[in-house]
Amino acid sequence: MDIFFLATNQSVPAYFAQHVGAKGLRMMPFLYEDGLSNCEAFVLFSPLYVNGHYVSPDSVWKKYCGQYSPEMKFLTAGFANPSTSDNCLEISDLPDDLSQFITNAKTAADVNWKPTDTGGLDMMDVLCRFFNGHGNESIMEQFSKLLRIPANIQSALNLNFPLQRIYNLYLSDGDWAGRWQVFLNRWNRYYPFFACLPFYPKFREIEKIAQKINLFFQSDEGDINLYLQIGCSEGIETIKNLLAEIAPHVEGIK
Amino acid sequence: MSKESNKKNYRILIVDDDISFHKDIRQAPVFLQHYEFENAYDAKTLDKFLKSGVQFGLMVLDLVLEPTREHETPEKIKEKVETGLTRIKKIRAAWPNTPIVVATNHNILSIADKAINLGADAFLYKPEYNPEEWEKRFRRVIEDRALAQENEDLKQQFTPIQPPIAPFLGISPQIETIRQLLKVVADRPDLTVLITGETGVGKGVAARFLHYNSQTRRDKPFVTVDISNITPSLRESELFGAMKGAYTDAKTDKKGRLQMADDGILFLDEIGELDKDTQAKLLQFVQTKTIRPMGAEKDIQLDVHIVAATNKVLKEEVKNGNFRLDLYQRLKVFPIEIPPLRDRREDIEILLEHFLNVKSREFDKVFEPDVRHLLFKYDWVGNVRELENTVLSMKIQQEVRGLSLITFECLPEEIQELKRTAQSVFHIAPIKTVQADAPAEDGEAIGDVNEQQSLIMLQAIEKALIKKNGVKNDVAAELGWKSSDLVRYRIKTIHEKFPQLLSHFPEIRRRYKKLFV
Repeated sequence: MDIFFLATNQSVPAYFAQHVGAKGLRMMPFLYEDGLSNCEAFVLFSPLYVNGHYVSPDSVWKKYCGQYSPEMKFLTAGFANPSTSDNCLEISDLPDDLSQFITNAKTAADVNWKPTDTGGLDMMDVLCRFFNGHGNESIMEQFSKLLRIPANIQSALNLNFPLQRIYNLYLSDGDWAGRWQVFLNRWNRYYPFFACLPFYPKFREIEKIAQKINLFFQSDEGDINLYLQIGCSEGIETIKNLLAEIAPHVEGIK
Repeated sequence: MSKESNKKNYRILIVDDDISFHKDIRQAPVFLQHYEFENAYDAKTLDKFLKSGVQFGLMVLDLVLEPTREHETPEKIKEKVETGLTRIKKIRAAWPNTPIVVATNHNILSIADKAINLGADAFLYKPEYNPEEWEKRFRRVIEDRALAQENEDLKQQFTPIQPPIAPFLGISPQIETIRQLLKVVADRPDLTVLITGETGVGKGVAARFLHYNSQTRRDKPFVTVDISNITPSLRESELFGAMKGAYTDAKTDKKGRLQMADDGILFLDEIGELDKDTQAKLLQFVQTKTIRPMGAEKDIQLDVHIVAATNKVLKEEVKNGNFRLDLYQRLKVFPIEIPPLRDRREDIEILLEHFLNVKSREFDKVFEPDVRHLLFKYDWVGNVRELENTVLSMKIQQEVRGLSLITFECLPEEIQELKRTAQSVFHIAPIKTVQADAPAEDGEAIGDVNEQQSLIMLQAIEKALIKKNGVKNDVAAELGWKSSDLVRYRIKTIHEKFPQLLSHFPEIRRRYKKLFV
């Protein structure tokens, strides 16, 4: 049986691999591109070290795996108290029959167990804060504001408003750039943490689009043609949709 | 004409704490040209708008009108949303016909349902903002509301209005006071009401108003008896009932009007005409609340609220020995005198509205300007009834003549004369020349305008009597009056005020000699 794993410290899985190899099991690094469809067992070495911080994405992974690979055995491995969970492996005290331990472990969809606190930043909290914001504006509210101006621009294009008038009406005062900057500030702060999350590919996609849209805001002229060429409106719409796809995996969004 | 220019202009109130939302809506291309906006950023400003009485074509309302604080729990946010929902109810109470579109970031089905149930017309989710779709939605909501209002108006227009059967109309302080008094006495059956006033002032209407305003008797009988219409010999049986065989024609038991009115109201019109025997029986009923039908052996206990009316001065009738003092005293427990229309001219407008079934602001579409002026100036000696008859007559004249407006020619002679008299008096001729064909050869001076009018009216009646050979119904029709009673009444009232005038009208004196005895 292949056991997929995610870790940021490669020495620990290596040690783990030595141990399980003797039992006829094989450790395989998890690749986002491959997804979880062929996984029978997945081990998350937690906490992970991301963006200069130890983070614990355990509960995010469990929720995600529970939805997409409900029968998969999802385990965490670290230096926590093993008695707190049937699905937690204590690296310093691995079971003799690891194959049996995995067989006995509860499935990802089983609601009767919760991942053990592995001491890092709880990524569910981090995600929740990213979505909810620190005060007035949730990320969706930000996008609601961000998208209204492209919607007005599109409507003006439909009504054949002259491009210069469109620019004057909706872009010249810098209001839209300001709204984008508010989003970007939040994004830049949180994005590096998201590399450890199961839906990281979606975040990576958002980052790519954001970089592209940024070209428009960084251009000195604020040309409406550049806006159209880059596809700013569509880009922001895509970001919003990607975030909307991620939101259901996060607990505590207001 | 382009599709764009067909759109109406609308005034919209945006209620939202997000300043950028106001700006984005206002700057949306589809809203730029045909919409104007007012802004309320918080509940306090909204309240000011609600109290100001200003009306808007549409309101766009966010449910949460205060910033979300950090660490605010979902429960707290839900509470804010609930507050926003209750605000809809408040707005709906203040502006029942203003369309409300809720636009919020909280896309929860239950919230949308609640908002609609509380009176919102539409629910929009802000992150799905699409100016063209939203503009269509706004317009649809505005038009739907307008259509609903139009339907309601039409419904009101074509649905016969139930009681008050005859609304006791009037805006004058006198009528307002009387309405208040009638409401007070409506549920006091122990207080006999005596309504007095000239013919046509609306005594019967007042009695019906009293009935309608009685909590306990509104759904019970309202029986009217016009004493003057009942042959004196039948009055007792009509009022108190009779057993089979009580008199020659009594072949079955007959219920009297009092018994018919049991639990309700008996309106005794023209009570001054009641003979003394019946007065005695009525007095007994008023005192004991019992009657004994003719030929019956037992009394019947009744619960009837008596409302009486007369245009006679009962006090005088008592003095003259025609009316029992004790009955008079019982009847006048709660006296109400309805003043003549000429003493409350401010009521003419609302009465005209009622009889013409148009609002006064539309009078210009109904009358020529002079006509309206004359209707307000005329003395209406036959009071509201005369006004009603005149309206009817004018409308017939208008129809017959195929006119789009009621013109001077449609007015009854006596009102036309008012104008001629005024012109003569004030512009051209001395009073005497007005009476060119009036029999004033003896040189009597005609004093005030009322007297002049009376003279003119008598001339018209005299002419009509001659023309119609004294057939009183035809005379009334000739004069454009509803009934011959009005002819009689007018002659009578003029005679009371200006007896000297009648000496010049032999045909009137001959045909109505009883009036001058």
